[in-house]
Amino acid sequence: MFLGFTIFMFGPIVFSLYMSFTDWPLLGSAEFIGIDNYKAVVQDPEFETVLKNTFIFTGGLVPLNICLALGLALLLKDKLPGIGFFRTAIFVPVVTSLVVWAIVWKYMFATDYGFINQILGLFGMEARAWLYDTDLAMPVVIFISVLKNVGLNMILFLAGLQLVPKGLYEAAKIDGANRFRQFFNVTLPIITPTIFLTTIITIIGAMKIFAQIYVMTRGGPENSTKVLVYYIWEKAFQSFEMGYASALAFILFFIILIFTLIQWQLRKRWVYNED
Amino acid sequence: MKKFVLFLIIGLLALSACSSNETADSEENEKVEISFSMWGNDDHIAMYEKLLEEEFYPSHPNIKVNIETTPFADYQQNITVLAAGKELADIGWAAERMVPQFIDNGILKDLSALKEDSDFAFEDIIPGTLSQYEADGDLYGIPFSTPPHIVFYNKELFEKHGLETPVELEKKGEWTWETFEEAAKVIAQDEGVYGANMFREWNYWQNLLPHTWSYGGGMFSEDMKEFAWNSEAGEKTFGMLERMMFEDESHPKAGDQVAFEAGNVGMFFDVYSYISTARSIEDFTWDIAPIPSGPEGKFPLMGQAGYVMFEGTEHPEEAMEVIKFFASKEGMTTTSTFFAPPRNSVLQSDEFINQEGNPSRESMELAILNPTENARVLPIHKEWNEIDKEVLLGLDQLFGQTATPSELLDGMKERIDKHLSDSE
Repeated sequence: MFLGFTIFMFGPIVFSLYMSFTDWPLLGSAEFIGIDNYKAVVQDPEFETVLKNTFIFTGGLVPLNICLALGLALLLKDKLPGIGFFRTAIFVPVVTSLVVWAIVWKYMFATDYGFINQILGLFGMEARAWLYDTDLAMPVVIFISVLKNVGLNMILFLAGLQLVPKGLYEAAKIDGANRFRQFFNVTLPIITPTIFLTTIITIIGAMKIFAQIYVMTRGGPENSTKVLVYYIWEKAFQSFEMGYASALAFILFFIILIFTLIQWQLRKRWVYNED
Repeated sequence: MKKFVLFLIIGLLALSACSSNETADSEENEKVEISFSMWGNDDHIAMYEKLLEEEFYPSHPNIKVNIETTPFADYQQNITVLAAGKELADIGWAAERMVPQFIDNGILKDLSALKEDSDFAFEDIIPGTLSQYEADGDLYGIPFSTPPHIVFYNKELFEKHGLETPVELEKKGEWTWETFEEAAKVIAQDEGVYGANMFREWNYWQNLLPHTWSYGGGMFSEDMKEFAWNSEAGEKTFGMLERMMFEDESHPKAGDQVAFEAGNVGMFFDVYSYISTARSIEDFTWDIAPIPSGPEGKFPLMGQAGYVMFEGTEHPEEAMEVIKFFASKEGMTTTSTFFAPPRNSVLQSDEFINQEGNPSRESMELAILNPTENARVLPIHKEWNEIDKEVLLGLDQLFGQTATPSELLDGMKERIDKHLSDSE
């Protein structure tokens, strides 16, 4: 296992770190240029755009995903007839291929005869160019990404909710708490470790978004959906600037690392019931 | 415990940076195996396999050709990545836009020996079709398909609206961009029908160039050092597209799902090889016409694809034999089922013109044979990928109506000139 880790994981990581200090046009030899790639990233106006788009996507997706997942878990936590069907239906997208998912939604959001526009047409609403409108493309990508992965967080929340001792609800009821108060004063504090976990993995997943963008928008229109990983791919495999792409990849790594460490520190203030 | 989880998360982050590697299997065989890389479809593969079985293998029992396909959109990228990994095929197709990069990267072998080969009849190949494959006196490819872009039109939609067809207008000398635009507008009066679609895919913008050329403009300056599409002619071109999309609604907008073969498009611009799809249309009658002309004349865009041999092949002699066979008169006669041949003798032959399911000889002459003289190839630059990206960004502005033609062309100039000067 150690050998496998060294050959397939650690080695490529170290190599790509080295690559980030070179000018390597893929074909031809790599030239060591020190931190020039990192300097170039700071001055790259497109980097600013893609970083902003990555944050917009993450900022849009994470709260939506967590709230929806928690809401669905609360709805589906009790053992009612047919509940398995609903739990499965929401979880199925998690195990489907991301690329297939994006292709299907691309057709659903097609401009003229797409399913979504046809539904709007039934209500007399005007068809929209969903994926070709700078205001709509990113929300559409966020929407389909939420639907794809909400099932995973829902399952984690369902597990978290099982941990809440029933006795606490009974005690709260005796104290006169309604369902609303019970949720905020009993359920929510107890499942904070689950919220913490889901938030971290959802943020990391969101910052790495690629397939949906590649399939549905190719970063367009007018770069409005061009996110960091797509930009890394474009630099590496379209412009063949391997060194620059590696530098971007390491910058993404450090951004996510910093975000994760900040959350780790903030954890002490709001996560209860850890032990 | 907390430290362990933190370590785990950092580890997962690091792992996500890794990508998978593909491995290629190799098989040992007594025969020399030549791998042939292309982006064609199943019909093309079947055609090559039949051609090899019937005409090549009997005289070359020691060679076996293995066909490998990659979608066109990923082809250039795949070849480059394979070249970096020294995993290239022996021979392959290369489109005109890819050739400058491949030559620049040094991954193509010189095929000049074919010029001297008396069996090959090199002089039969139309000289103008070779220019994209020549550099510093060397020849890096032999074209097999050099079709001018043409207009496929739905005859029934023209008849229904009492319009003169493009062929009738062409014969009268009245097939111009104005009459094209008017016809498109009339046809688009029907619900769910578009008058014209100039793009095979919504981002296939190259078909706009013949319009600019016919108004006296061009994409670059003569020396290719400056972007020059931001001219009056360029504004006319993008203005026409904008008008057709948003005023007349005669041209599909970005993301509209339309297909000529479905019968909801009056006129469709594509290369001759689209004929393999058109031949299977049963629901309506169609014909072909040349692209319309402008005040300066008619300059169709010529698509080009050729055979190349990749550096690193272990069997250059056998690879050369295969290319020589594919590009021979016999080979091109067979491939002319789908591709307009660059060999004069095949281009003029009855076998090419009278293929089953083809339009009339008159239409073939008007659309394919006559315009070839004035046809122009894409003004390719080795930074083509970057240039393409910047043009697409400008088209996004047109499709989203966030800039006027003049503004978006000025924006393109600013960005593209930077790539042109960086590459010097």
